[in-house]
Amino acid sequence: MMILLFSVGNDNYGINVRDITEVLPSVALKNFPNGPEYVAGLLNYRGQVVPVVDLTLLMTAQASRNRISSRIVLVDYQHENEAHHLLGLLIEKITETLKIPDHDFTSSGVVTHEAPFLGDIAIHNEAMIQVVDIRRVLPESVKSLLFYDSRDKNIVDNGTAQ
Amino acid sequence: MLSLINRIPVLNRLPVLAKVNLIVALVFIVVVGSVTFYSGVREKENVLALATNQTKDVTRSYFDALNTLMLTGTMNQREILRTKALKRHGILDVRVVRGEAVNKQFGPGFAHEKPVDELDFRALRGEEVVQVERRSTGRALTVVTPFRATANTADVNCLACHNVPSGTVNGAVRVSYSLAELDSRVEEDILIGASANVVLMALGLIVASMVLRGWITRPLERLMDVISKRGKGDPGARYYVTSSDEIGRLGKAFNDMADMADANEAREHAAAQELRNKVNVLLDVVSKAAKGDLTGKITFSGDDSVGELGAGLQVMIDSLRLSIDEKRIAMEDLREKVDSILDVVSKAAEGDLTGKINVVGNDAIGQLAIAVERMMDNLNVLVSQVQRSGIQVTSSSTEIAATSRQQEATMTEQAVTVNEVVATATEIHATTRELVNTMDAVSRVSESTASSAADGQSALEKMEGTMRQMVDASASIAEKLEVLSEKANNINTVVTTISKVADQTNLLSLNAAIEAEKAGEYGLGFSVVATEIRRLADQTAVATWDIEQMIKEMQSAVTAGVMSVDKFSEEVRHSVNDVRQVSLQLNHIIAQVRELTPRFESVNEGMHSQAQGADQIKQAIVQLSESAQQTVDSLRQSNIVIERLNEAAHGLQNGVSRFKVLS
Repeated sequence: MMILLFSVGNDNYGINVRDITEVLPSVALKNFPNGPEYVAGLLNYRGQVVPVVDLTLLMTAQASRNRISSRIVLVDYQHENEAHHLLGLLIEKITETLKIPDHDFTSSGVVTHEAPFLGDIAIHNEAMIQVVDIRRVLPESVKSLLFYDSRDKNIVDNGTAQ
Repeated sequence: MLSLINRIPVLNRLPVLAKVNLIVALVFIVVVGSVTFYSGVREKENVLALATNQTKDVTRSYFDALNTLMLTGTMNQREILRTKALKRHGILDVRVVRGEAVNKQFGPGFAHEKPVDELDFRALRGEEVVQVERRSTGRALTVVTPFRATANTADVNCLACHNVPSGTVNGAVRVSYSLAELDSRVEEDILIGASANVVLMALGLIVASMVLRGWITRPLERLMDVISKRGKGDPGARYYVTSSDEIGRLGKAFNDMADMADANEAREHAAAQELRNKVNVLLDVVSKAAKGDLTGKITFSGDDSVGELGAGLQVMIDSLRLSIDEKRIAMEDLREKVDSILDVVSKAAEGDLTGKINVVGNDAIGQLAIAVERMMDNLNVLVSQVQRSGIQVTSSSTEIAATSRQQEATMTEQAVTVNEVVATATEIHATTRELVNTMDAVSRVSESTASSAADGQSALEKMEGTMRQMVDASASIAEKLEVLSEKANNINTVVTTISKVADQTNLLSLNAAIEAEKAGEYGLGFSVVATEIRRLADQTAVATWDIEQMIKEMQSAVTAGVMSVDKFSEEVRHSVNDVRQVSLQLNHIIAQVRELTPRFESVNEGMHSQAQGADQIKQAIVQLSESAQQTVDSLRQSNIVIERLNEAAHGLQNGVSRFKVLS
């Protein structure tokens, strides 16, 4: 399995590259007033409006720092067999991909309701890398907020289709 | 001679016998003394002549013995001869005096053989010397006999041995002989002779006085007894004549004189008795007349002087009685007039000038009365004038005294005031002196301040120049740093670009890797390429990172440098401004101080002249004070004088007021 490495604080995490649509530079976002703090803004991705969530803020209650290595990862978000959505994740220190055999992953042995997206852990070069499950990354309130207009399901569907 | 003796009172009082004894003894003493003295002198001369001959013999025999020693060749034994000679009785010293010729031929000899005194030298010149001298032990005779070398001296040819011309004095023998023993013997003889003479003289005197007593003294004493009895009034005292010598005749003559005197005395006694009776009568009359009783009468008469005296006296007494009666009447008249005048004058003497004289007449008393009356009138006028004048003088002198006392008080006050002024002037003088000193000090300080300020100013000018250079230097540094900063910025731009490219490349590689993964097995090759690209991008990123870091450091350093240079430059500029300000202020100060100096000088001069003026004032006031003091003194003097004048006026007034005058 190939993962895209990133860091939150001093810890290393990874995202399965199969969930990633594209890695984008940290471009300017349209502001999202009165929204939750961890919603960084809206991204114009080839004519499609994509919400961007600050993952670092979501995980550690600290906003991402604007660095060259801070990038926006576009992921294909699908929660419990619902419709596919494009979601931008603002993450720090994205510089490399890593290929780790599947059997190297082990369960962390810890499941928290506060952070349900934290998955298995692999040890690479004596460093622990925990896989982040992006399907569980958004809390329910945020998910409903971000993808609220199920009436416009078509639009979303259309967007997804494109 | 006798009159001389009689003049000596002690001798004159002595009895005749003692006088005779004294004269005889004196004559005897003179004769015995002169004989003794003469014989003593003669004897001593004889002794000396004898001793001289003897001593000369000794010298000759000593020479003979010496000559014998010469001839026998034992001259070196001559000290034995001397020792023996010295042991002879009476010899004090024996020695040979060696002549110069002998010394030349035979050497100098013993120490005692050298000539030592004038006697020796005289002998060596050929003179035989004989001298007597007085020593502590008595008289001493010294004989020095010279000996000449001849062909035949006492049958000896001296010239055989001595290499000298004939007649040369080769030496002398000197002998000193003591005359003490001989002298003492002579003196003893003289003493014995004199003693015998004195004893004989005493015996002669005793015998002579006894004889004289029997012949002269006793008869004279008896005659003296008789005369003194007669002198005391014993008319029967007569001398009993025992001899017919001078004293006997003297006694007889006295007896005749006594008989004559007795007869004369009886005659004179009778005449004196008669005269005394007449004189008694005269005395009686005269003493009565002396007591005022002119009634006495002379009862005797006679042709002798006493009788004439009695008659004359009777006439004189009668006329005297008549004239006395006339005089008594005139005197009583005169006394009355004089009493009247006296009354007036004595009243006037007591001060009462009001009396009047009632005496008339052309005699002396009358004229005296008129003159006294005129005098009294004049005195009245004079005294009343004097009284008035005395009162005026007294009041005037009292006024003058008061005025002068006031003046004195005023002058004393003035003197005190002047003294105060003197003190004040002295203080002013001292203060001015101090001020002058202070001004001198201030002037010096201001001069030194001016010079210090000038020094400071030049130092500040130098500093300003340095500061300016520093400003320039810092400006150029800042410019260079600016250039550096610009270049760093350029580099930074390039690096940023490179960094962006690297980032893009990384992003590209990431997306490529993702796509390759998605492509599965088909994307394997592409995945390798993506990995390589990413590594390249990573290296580039690292390199650019390093460069960026360096540039940033450099930039921050440059920025810091620029800032500090700016700050420094600013500070320097500030300092330059400050320095300029300080310099300006210093200029100001210097100008003010320079202005001050002449003012100080003028102040100083003013002070000096003020000090001199104060001094002069002081001196003037001191002089004034002295003159005031003098005035006070003179006022005091005049006060005293006025006091005296006042007293005198009072005295005058008192004196005059005793007089009463006709008003």
